[in-house]
Amino acid sequence: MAPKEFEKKKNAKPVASESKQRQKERQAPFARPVTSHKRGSHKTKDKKLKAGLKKLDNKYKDAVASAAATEYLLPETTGYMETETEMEKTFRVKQGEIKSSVDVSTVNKALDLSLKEFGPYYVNYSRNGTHMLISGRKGHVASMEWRKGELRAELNLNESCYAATYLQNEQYFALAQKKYTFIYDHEGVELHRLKQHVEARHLEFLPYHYLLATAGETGFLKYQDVSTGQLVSELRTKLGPTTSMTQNPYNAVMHLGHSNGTVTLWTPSMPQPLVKLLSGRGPINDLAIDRSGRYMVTVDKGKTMKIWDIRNFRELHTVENLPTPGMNVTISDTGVIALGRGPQVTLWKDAFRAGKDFKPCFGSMGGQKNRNTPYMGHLFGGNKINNLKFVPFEDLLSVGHETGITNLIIPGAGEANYDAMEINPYETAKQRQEQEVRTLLNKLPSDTITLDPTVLGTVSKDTSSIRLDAKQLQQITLEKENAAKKNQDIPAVKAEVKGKNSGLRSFLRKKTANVIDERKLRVEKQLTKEKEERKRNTMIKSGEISADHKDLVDEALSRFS
Amino acid sequence: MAKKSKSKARSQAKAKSSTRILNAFELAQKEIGGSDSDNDNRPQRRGKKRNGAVVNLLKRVENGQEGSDDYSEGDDDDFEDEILDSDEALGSDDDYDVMDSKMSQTRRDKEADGMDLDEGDEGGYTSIDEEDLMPLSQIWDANSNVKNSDNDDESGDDDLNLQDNISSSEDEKESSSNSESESDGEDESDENPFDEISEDEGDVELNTITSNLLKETAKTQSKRLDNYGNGEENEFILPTMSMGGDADDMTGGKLSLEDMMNVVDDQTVTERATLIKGKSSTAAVPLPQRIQKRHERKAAYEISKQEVNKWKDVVQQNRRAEHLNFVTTKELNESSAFSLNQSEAVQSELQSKVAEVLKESNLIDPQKESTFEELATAKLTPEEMKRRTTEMRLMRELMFREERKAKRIKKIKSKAYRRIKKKEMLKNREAAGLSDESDEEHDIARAKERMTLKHRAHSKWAKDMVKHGMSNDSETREEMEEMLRQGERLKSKIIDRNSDEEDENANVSDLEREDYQNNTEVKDKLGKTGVMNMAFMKNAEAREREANREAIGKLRAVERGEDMELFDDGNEESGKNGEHILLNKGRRVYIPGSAGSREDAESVVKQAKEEQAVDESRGLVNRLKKINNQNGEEIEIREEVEDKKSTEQEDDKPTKTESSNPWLDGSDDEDSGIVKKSTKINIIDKDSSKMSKSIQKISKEMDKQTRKSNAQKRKNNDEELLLDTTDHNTLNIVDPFGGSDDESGKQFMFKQQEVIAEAFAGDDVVAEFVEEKKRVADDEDDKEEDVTLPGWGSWAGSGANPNRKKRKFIKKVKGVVEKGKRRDNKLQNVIINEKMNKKHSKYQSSSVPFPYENKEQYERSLRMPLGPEWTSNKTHSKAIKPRILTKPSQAIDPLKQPFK
Repeated sequence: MAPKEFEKKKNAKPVASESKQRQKERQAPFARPVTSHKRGSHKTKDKKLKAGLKKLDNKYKDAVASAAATEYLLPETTGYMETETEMEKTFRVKQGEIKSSVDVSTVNKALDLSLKEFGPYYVNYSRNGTHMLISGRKGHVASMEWRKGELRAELNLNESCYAATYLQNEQYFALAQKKYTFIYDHEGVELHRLKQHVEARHLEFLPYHYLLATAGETGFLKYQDVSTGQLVSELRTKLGPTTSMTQNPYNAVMHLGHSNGTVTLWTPSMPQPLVKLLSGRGPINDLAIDRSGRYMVTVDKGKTMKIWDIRNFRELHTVENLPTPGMNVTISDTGVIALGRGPQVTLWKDAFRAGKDFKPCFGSMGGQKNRNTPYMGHLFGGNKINNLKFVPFEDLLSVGHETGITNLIIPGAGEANYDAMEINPYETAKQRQEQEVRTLLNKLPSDTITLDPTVLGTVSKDTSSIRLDAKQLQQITLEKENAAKKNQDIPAVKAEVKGKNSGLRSFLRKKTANVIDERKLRVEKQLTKEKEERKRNTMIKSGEISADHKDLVDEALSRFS
Repeated sequence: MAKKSKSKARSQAKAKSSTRILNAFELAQKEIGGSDSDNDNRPQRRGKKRNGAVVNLLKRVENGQEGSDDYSEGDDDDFEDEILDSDEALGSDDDYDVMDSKMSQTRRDKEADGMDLDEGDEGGYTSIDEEDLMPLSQIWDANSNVKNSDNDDESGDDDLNLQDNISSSEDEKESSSNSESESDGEDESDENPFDEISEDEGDVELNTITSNLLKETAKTQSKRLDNYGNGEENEFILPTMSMGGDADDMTGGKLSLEDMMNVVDDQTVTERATLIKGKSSTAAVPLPQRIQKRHERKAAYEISKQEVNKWKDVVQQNRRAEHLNFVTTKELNESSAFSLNQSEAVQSELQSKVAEVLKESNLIDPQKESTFEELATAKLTPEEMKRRTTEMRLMRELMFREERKAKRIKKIKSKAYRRIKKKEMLKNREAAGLSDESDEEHDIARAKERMTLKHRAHSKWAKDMVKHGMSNDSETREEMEEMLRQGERLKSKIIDRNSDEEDENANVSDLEREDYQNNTEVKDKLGKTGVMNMAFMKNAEAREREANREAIGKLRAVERGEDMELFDDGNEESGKNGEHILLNKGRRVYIPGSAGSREDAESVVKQAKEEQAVDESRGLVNRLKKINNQNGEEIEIREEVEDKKSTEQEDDKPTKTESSNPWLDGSDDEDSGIVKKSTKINIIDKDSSKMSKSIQKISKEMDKQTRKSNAQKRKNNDEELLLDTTDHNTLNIVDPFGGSDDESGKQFMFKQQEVIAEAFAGDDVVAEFVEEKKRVADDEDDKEEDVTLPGWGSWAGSGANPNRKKRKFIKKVKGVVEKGKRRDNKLQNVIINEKMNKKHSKYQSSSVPFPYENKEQYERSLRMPLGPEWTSNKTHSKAIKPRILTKPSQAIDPLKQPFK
């Protein structure tokens, strides 16, 4: 009897733990692990706090569980093209073959616009993928609802046109033209000429911050708030013309590629780059970041393609010696990398996994197994690719080239499920308007852009990590008061500094509010002191008085001032 | 002593006045109390003396306990002190009324204890020093006989005495203000009156008496405690005597209340006193009011606390609850089916009886409301009622109309309204006899019709009409017909226009004519001077004219049917161009898609020729036939063209690959371990020369041979190798990571990396980057500054020891981050900026907020965002649910006490 029972127990336990384990796995993508977790940090003697913390924890668990439960609601599944035997390779499948075997609507979506006059064409999509914006280098611009084939706006600018992007929705778009950047509305009426954005070659729009970021020949990265019209910041890269630019959709950090092979990461609130990466020997031709903001792919003229894990800035894969230098690169929502080299497009999947087996390579090299051979490829004979863009929520790769736009069918490239709260590919005009208002209300200030957005709202690093009691707080206030007494809270007097712009003066200017308070009086006093010292210095220089000259009267009277 | 005398002198005048008052008081007393004895004067004085002389002694010593002794318990201690001080002052100048007899004094003493306990502490002591004091023991001895009679007097005078006391105390109060200063001065002497006494006379006897007193008080202490209810007792308290006791008795006997009561003859007094006789039955002295009140409050608090505690659980529960819902959902009415059934079904005897009683007593009336209404209207006559209802109806009708009108007015922007308005306007116009439409308006209408094609039978409206069978209705039918007619009218006009335009286009000669006319006209206008007559303008004009003429000529030719040659011409040219590009091997310029485009052009030409042929065929029937044929042919041709295109593309591919530096081509994969041949490709077109074709053939054969000879025969799956490639004039490139190079026989050996290094020579980006990283690390590191002043703290000159170890003053300047602690320390090719972003500080908490004790706890609470974008709908709605839910206009009942 006894051993049997024991066995039963033994069996029962793992089953329970297994289901728990499975549950945990299922919930893992929705969990938000605590970043800084000290052991026993959540233990407390305070009963009320204890109860509160427990309640919080339960709430969190519930939230994670219910979030995991919503996964069942996702109706669509993604799937890639698969081969029946090992000998078949997916990259051998031609677009024609795919078209002959897929449904008519998909074939219709694989459009091929032949625009031979004003190429090469740059193609871009609105965030929900309903609208396509194309701009030919020679000034032909068109915005259209491409699925329905309805043209929204068509312009012939008679001016070079380098990049184009929609702003918050398809109602507005920005164009990087020869000298200035312009904003047009959905009918193609010019709304703004952004005078400050000179010779922009790359445009990016940050939808949550309403910022239009431009970079180009001048080597400046400029941010324009399109909701208020203010120029938020201009950052000098000091690295010459910017060769490529993209945004990290996770944290809104801009990644710029430069001609010396470096990639720099910028936020509008920091005058220096947050991070500088050396990613190639030649100019960075293009870079792309995946949707989750974890991986970055760069291609440079030195014929290398690098895949970075930008969470910890480690190189995941480095592909040296491409047959020809990669010119364009982009990543789909499902993590398919598309690399453009002149007339060729090559696509890989699973390239963001660590390990040699997932390193992208061309061909299996004599039948070597476990190589990440291309998923698909295409050749635009006698043509040259200008840019690549995956169509949101579609299994399509849009290629802008010398003679127009071609959509390639890439099975499994698009996100199958959409979140209508976020981006709705089927939104009506009313929904669009409401979404616009909502996003405007939820607009994030530009200085919330950080490399790690989770730090916002937390306790800052340089302060104490435990709650201060009254005594400590008192000490702190006392210290502050003392600092004020010693004039440590205002800039120091610097008589020897040349130029008018002393620290004190700028301080006074910045705190220009029409309020005379104690501090302002102090600043003014210090300023007069500084002035006098300066005067004295000049007098000493000109030889009017000697260095150790003392005005006895002044000295005597100074005690009254 | 000197002090005393001084103070005495000072206060004399005041004392006099006070005695005067006293005298007045005495007189008054005499009048009131006629039964005053002869020695009536005495008690008065006695009372006063009591204040002045002896009892003060007691007070002096038991400083702490006046409160309990005091008969006015509510008074503050300070106040008492003041009074006492003033008493002293009073006493001090008592030489006027003199402590005349020793007898009186002793009597006073007795009284102090026996009767007026409350007064005991009053009076000053200062008088003692100035009197030629008799030893107290003597006095007592002498008195012992007299006592009885005296006491009799006193007991009779009880009431009066009390009065007296009051008056005296009043006196004291009066004088107190005056004598304050003096008393202040006397403070020192007050502290220890006995010292003074001993100094004065050195009475040994007094000392012994005091020692006796001490003993006595020690014995009486416990009793006193009982009486006064306040603990401490003092040695200086005035001794009290038992009635029959001598001085000797006193030492042994106890002073009890009974003893004292025995003395009293008055029956009523004793009776009254018996009430408080006996330890158990004695009523305690009432507590000071404030203390009593405090106790009362305490008790009241306890009670109320108990009462309130009944809600404790409810309150706690509510406090702990996450949400409080005060929105009560409407309970089901009793009229609901369920409740009705229940009430009917379960009706006990009691219930039925109660119901009966209620009915009888008219307490329930289900038709209360309706009856009320009935009552209101019942008084009206039928006519009045009718009138009223019609009135009401009218009012309602009017209101309804108003409403409708308002609605219509609101909708006034609608299209329909506009249409009707327009129609009205038109009607008016017609009525006025104006022309129905001006030209411009007509044009606009036509344009609109052309754009919208509104007036068709297929329009939505018309379809709807037909669908719903409304077309049978004559009115709608008419309308439809009218519409169609209008559409036709407009359409016909469109056709007219088009035909006109065609006519205009048809004649080339017209063009010519026009051109000519224009020219002549302009020339005539310009005259002989002006810009247009300048040489270059003329030239330009001539050129233009020439071009125009050519164009017209071509058009003519087309008319005549010579166009084919023209196309051929163009074709030749383009073909030549293509040839040129392809054959000029030395400098190839690739026009994207040149070959393809040429092919296109060719196909177009072919098609055009065929069309031309069709046109030229004479017979109409023939023509029709040919058109039919042509359709098929066209498709064929298209196919052909496509095929050609694809082949062209195949051939074209290499051109592109070649365009990117072929000599840099190498293995795409550094760990492939395979030597690859860079691809040099010849483009072979149909149009390319025979030479190139033959070369291509030869090279292909050679390629085959070399492939055969290759030991490692492997099929390359690479895209590039799927193309038609040749490997003559290959650059042999060895894998940079030292793969197997079996083709060692080749002479040229480039390492890929070297090649690239060479290509990017001059800008060594890697070294630059490393240097920059180092520089940044140095810049942001902590810095040390040597602030040692040369010569400071050392001697100079002969005899100075220069080798002495010098102290260095090093100032540390804190940098951004220490070198060893940089985040990019172990990362290659990365520089991370360690500087803090000051602008983020406003989005961060500067300290751990209140309920949390440390950072981790706080950050745990922030883990799950609230927004619907990040959480499920359920979680979101839960998270944003307000803690207290109320409904406007709904009363919130006070908390109900649970059963307890």
